[in-house]
Amino acid sequence: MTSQIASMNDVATLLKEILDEERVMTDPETVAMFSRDTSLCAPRKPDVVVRVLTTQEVQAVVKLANAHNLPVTPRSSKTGFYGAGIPQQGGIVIDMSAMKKIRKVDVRNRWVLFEAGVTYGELQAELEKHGMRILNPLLPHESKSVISSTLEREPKLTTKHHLDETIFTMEMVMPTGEIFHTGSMSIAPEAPEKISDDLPCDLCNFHGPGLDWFRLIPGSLGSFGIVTVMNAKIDLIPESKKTIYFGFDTLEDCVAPVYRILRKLIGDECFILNSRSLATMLAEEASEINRIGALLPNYIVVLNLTAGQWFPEEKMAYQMAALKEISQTFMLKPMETLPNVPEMETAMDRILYQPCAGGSYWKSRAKGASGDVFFLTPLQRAPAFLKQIEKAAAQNNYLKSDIGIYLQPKQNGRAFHMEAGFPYDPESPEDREKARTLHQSVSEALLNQGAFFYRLYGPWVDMVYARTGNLQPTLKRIKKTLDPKNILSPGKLGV
Amino acid sequence: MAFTDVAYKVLQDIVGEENVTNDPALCQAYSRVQWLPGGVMQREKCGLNMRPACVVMPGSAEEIQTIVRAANRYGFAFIPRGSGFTFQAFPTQGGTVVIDPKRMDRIIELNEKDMYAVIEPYVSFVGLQAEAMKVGLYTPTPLAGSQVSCLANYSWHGAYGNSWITGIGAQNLLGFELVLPDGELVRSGAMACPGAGNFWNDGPGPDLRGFLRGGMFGHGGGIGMVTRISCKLWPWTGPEVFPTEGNANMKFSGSLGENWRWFMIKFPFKYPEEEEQELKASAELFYEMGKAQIAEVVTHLAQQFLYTYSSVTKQDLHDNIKNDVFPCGYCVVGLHAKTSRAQLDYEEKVLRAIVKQVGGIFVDEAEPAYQVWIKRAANEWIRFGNAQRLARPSDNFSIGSSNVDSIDQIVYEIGESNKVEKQALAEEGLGKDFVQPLSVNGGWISPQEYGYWCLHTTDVFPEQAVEQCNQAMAIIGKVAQSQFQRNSAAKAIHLLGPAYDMFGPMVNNIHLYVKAVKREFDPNNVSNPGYAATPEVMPEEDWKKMMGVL
Amino acid sequence: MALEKIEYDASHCQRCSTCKWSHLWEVKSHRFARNCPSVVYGKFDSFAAQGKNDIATGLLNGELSWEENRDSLLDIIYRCPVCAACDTSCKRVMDLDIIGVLEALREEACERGYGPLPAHREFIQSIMNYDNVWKQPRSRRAGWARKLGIKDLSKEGETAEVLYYVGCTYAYKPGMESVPKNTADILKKAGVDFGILGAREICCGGIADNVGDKKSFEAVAEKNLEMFEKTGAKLIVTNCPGCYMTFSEKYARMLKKNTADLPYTVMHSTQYIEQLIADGRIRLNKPVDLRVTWHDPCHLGRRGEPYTHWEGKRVAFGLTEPPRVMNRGENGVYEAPRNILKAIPGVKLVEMERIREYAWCCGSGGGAKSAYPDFALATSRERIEEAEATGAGTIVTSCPWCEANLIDGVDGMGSNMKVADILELVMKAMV
Repeated sequence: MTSQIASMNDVATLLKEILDEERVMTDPETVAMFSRDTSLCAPRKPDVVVRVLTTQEVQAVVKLANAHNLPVTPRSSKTGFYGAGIPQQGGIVIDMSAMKKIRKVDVRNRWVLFEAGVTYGELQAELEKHGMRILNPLLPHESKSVISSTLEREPKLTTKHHLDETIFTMEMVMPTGEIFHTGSMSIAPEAPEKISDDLPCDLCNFHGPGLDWFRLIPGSLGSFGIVTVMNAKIDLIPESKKTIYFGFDTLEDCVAPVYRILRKLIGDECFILNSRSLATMLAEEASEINRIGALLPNYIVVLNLTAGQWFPEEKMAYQMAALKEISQTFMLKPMETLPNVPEMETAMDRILYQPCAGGSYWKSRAKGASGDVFFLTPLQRAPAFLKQIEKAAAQNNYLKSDIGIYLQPKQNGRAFHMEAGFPYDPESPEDREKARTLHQSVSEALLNQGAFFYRLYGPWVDMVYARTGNLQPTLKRIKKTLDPKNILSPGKLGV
Repeated sequence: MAFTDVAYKVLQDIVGEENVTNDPALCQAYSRVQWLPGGVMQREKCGLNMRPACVVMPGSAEEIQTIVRAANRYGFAFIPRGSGFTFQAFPTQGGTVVIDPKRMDRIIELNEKDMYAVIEPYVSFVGLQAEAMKVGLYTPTPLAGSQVSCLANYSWHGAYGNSWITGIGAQNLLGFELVLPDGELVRSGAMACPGAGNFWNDGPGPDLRGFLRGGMFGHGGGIGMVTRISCKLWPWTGPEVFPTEGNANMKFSGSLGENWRWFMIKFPFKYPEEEEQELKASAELFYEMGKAQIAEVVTHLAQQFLYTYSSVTKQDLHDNIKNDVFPCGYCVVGLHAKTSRAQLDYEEKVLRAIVKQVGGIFVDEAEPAYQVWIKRAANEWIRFGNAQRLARPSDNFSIGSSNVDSIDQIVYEIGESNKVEKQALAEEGLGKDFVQPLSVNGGWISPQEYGYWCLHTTDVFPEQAVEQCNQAMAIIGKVAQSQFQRNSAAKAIHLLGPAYDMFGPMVNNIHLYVKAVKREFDPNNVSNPGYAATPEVMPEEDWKKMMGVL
Repeated sequence: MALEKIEYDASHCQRCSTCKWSHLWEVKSHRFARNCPSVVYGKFDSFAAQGKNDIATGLLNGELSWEENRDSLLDIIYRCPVCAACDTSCKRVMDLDIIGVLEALREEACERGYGPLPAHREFIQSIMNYDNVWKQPRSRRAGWARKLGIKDLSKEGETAEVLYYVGCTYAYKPGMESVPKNTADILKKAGVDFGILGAREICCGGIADNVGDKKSFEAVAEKNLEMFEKTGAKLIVTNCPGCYMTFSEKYARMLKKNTADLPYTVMHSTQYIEQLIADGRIRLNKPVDLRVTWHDPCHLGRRGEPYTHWEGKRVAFGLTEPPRVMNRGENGVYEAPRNILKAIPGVKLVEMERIREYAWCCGSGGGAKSAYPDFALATSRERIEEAEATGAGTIVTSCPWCEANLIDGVDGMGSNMKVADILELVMKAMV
């Protein structure tokens, strides 16, 4: 069915009947800004960008889009990293970054209800007033929307199994324009403002209704529905903490000790960085990275122990005793700081709990951008994948020493998010092209070796789904039932 | 739908003559769900329509695909099942073929390092856990009993003794392989990616587990048959072999060794007068323990659980009830040393401090409740589950009310549903022959994932007689009505079959979405048509009749 | 008709499938987690106790018909060793008489003339014609005892403290005569005052009851009771668990008495010999270097419990009036044979996974061996595999049917497993 609209000016006019004029943007600057992000995905322009403030406005825009067969791409962070917010077929970009309400903090039940545009920094500032904290990924960009991050399944620093999937309920606009509530929020079909203390439920059931949306929506890149409000798990701010570092020469050396530590459920946060990654995080400018990197072990395991209100010293003591035993078994030297790195504790506090605020974003710090390749793996396979990464990099003449490596255990080490960062200069077309070729090459090599690419962006969509039999066709069929006109994020995921 | 001789011959060709039957005597064993008054009434209503026309036993996913394609071609309905315990495993209309997975009983992989197993449909929890314990791991233990199919339990609905850490069935499911109702095969998670192994779920892209199952009950077999799953295993520092003492019914579970400690906690409130206070106090205990993130097993036991778990015989049980052996509900806490023995000491210290803070009392070892539970049932709770033993009081039972929400809401829900039951008894005599003393006191509260959320059940115990079952259904109906009037979140969770048509309009028109999915994937409505949402919206009169409202 | 007695039990099955699995606490592996040979072999649920409950209910309510469904029904009913593993498992959860259902199905099949199966009729006819199941002349029954100088208690004036009852199979089956010979030898050495019934010993009749032919069973039982009374036997010792169970449970049930109130006491030979060892009347001093595993015969174990008679009805909630004591497997004979093995120097006893009241059946009982030899063989091979998994070289038992069927199982499997009667080891160890 072809659109009846003669020109996008007509679209803008119709949109201005729904939204304030200044929130309907077709100027070249805005269009250009929303046509790209920091990923290697090719820029594609939307026809119009709308900045919304409420779920009802999102609904109205989606209904309009359905009426005129216009594609819609949702976006809730000001800066994107994976290409998820880049429209594939023009149309309307819905910018939810101004939806900033933090509706409710339920300390007793440990969740927070908040809107799509709320960032980690904003949420954390609010939660701190209640002695609570959001479960954050590694140094998110200051403009990163928490809902966006959650739906993209960015791995969190916590290793706790019950804090990996954090979504309770969601308010969504379906591709056909209905407002939909998931989980126990579904008993309140009316406007979200009515979700208040009067609602006879505490929004603590994430199942259903009908389908388990809390699983179907993440990773769908906005193609199954637009989430405008979410309540998600939060945790208490620990009363005390102690960060322990282990240095290793190789990633292989990390494997057995990390398995042991995580099997014994020691610590609350844990991650593995190579010196390049950590140095990049610690540096304030690109020129410092190499110098700091030289001070660090090749691989660093960061383990953060925390304790709450109950006998914190004793909790620390038993964890430290267990760590000591493991250290003896594997002949490790646990450190309470990294030698020669000034203000390590302050820096690590920031890394553990804060977004990357002030100065440059760490991923852009080295050269301006980073072409990241990431996937999931059991830890025992990580060294082999690392070899593959390094081999592919060498084949593409990329310096091994520039590669940033990050491994994030999930759910007490059942799986590890493994990430290789390849900094490049986004202003140089040549560098950008090399980065794209490298990204492709590394990805293919990893896929051929059996890496599990669980989050699909850009070229990964076709590369992965070519291998997964009926999975993509099945997703297409689901998409067809939810979005018969293929309005939301068409072209993403090939569905 | 009809099942023809031609279709039967096709099935014989697919699986071999010895693995398929249309003999009424052989099929009779698949015709009756007995627990639940609903099951009894269903049998009354459906009669021999509940006896399958054929039972077929495939040996592989490929055979299942072929069977399903045959179903579409020759126009017969099929029902996928595990061990066949739940009511969705039984036909409601003639001409249905039941797929019995007994030949698919392999544990394909057990990965100790990455803590998962890959299993086929007829692998039971008990066998899987026995293998897991040998390598320092264990499984959740379903209250349905560890004899049930692990795959089916995770695909449908499972609640566990150690849900405090494991969460619910859906949360223990990793990747899966599914034969869709049109015979296509799809895999999800790492299982879908060649060479990736079976260690994880989440994609690639959207997580198909969100399509496979939904709400509390999934699709009830309406979206095809799961042929393999990978599932989580959990760290275990107890003995490699579950210790026992004594014989048969007198058997006691032996000590789990130094890495486990059990506690029972009660509050100074008596049932039934002070039930509300007791439940609220239990809630405080759970909230504090959740914040402290300690323990492995945390639960509140209804009186019925104590009586049924403690009894060696039905007579015992009823004698104990007469003697008021358990005058109230109790909380049970199990501590499991996964880090070290010192961790156990720490957690016990915290537990004692919390119990003191919330006004709880540790049950003395000499008390009957302790003797029964800790000596006999505590370890069973993590090895066997077996709330199926709830059938012992009257040889039939049903969940009277259940909900999923916060601990506070669950406590409130129990109180409200117990009030409804008491009122129904007092004003209309519903349950006069069975309600007391077996129900309307307390409830099973199962806080999940360190108390972040919670589920509960309360139970009713009618005998199998039609009149009592009708009364039990009426009680359950009144509880459901009360939930509806209070706009309780409970009305959104138990959707299956005609409940979609009844409640869907109140729950974001979910029935329209689910039916659209059903139409897309099962256009011929061959995959368990009795229980899944029907492809088309049902006329009000029809769903009211099916729901027993008319 | 027989099924009416168990209508409640059959119709209140909860369909939980507990009957298909070994004691859920005792399962030690996925491989050996199942307990019901019938459903493992037959696969369809109808072969499990749960299925038989459904079938009994279906027959009672007219959904099934003996006439129309006869062949399938008989197959389901009789392709089962009636080992009671299902009953024991179920009773952990419910209070249903599952063994009662299995037996009632057989009884009613016979009442209606459809049962027992032809292979069973042969045995029963043999009992009627020859007083033994093997169509052997009566005169040869005590052939094993020739020249051993054992008292014949069937003769006028002969008495003894112990009536040693040999049983048809030990008396007649070639290769099995060593068991009564060993028994006699042991009793003599222990100075026990015992006697046998010689050629006048007749079949216990248990087989007839096992397959549902109550009339034939009762006819034989009456004769035996008369003989016991005539001889004044107060203590009967037998090697055959089938006979043991028959005298202890089946005769008591027929007489509507408790086992404890029978005019005699019956002991299995392992119980008696255990006592002799404990009393120091026999000494086991010679080492027997064997790694063995013990196979619990079903009729000695979970079916070997004393019987408590009950007549009454089900009342509210399924309670029984008067209260009924049901056997649940815990009082079978499990320790005696183990204690004997432990007393033999050099013997290392290693246990299989499914033992005691949750032991895997050898596959022979209930008429299964004669009517369904393939089924019996498959069941026995499962047991041999389980024995092999222990690392034992010998599987030891004390039952002629188990022994024979296990030997048949070993044959053709390529297994090195030896099958031995417990008394062989005792004899080797005796000074």
